[in-house]
Amino acid sequence: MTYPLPVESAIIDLSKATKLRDVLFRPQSSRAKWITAAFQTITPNHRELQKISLGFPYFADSLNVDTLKQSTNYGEWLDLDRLLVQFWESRSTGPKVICVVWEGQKRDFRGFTECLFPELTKRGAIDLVE
Amino acid sequence: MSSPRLPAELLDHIVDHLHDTEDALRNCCLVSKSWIPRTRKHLFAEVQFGGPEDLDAWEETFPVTSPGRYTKTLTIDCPEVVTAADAQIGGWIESFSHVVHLELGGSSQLPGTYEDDESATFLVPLRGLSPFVKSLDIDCYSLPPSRIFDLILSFPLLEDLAMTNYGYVLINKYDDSDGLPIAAQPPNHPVFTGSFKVVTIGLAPITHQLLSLLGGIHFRKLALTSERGEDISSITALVEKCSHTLESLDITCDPLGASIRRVHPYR
Repeated sequence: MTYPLPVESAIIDLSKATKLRDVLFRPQSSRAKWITAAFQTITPNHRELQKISLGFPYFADSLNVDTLKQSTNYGEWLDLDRLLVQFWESRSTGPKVICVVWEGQKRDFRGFTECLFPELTKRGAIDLVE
Repeated sequence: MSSPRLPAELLDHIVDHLHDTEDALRNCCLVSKSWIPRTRKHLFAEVQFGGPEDLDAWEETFPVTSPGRYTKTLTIDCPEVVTAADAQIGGWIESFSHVVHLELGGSSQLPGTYEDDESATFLVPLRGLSPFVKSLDIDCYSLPPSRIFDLILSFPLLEDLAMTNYGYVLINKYDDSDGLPIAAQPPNHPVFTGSFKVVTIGLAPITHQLLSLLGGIHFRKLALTSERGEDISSITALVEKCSHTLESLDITCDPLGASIRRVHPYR
């Protein structure tokens, strides 16, 4: 049986996936709400979780930081930033947050990730890898 | 006085050390007939048929006895040609009886070639090609999902499944609420305990097949890539089904992107 539901209500529920070791989300737009919603289902029972990664398309660094901050979706990234900081602080072995960028673009993405994840950046809890 | 012979175990050990040196292996083949089986084990461990010309060359080289039984990784980029040749010669596919990793290309087909479930019959001779297949990588493009799963379910030990370029939804204007035939489930169908990797525009038909499996799915790794926002429902369903075994999750999707439409998730 199927039920018509809006896409926004379809949450990736990770609450029962307590064996998870690593999670990688690759958003294809400026929306982060669905990622935050998925991470909100992670519980203290996820003891194996070691790595949280976010992959960005190669063109993401071309987005102007000021434009990004003024966009209506910017708040979604700050919500995600806050949630990931909570993860990092609430666990003795806080999962490492990694931004996966395209080869040779590490320098270009630094400002981009600082803009999206200001708190994680401040705490040194985010790494950029190619 | 007969010349001294190396014990077979020692000979095997020496040849095994040369497993990644093709020239040396070819030379070993010329030393003695007794050296041939072990060297062929390595020489033909990986075989790829890129096109009809490769098939012709194989048939010409091995007209009687195929060394296919030594092959562990078989890549067929032209499955239609291979199965047609098998129909002519007979038993050609059967010789690859110990394949563990099978890769099938199919995206060379023009869009819309396989529009219904009765098409794509070229996959039939490949069913159960080897009982030892543990991983299947299929570039399936517009193949009907039940045909693909007829093949998939014929490998009882299958652990890892990868499906790329799956555009059936796009080609056939499939709507997620459309019903599609479910592949018949043999008694010993795989339980899927490895990884599932899919790159698609339209995950629903595949999800429909996987969620219909009586034995369930138990993937430890999911790597799901879709350009369709609606596929978030299929993704959530797959994650939920595998949640007790899931160790690694990799999702590329855009559920809240440009188009937000109403969908029919599996429940």
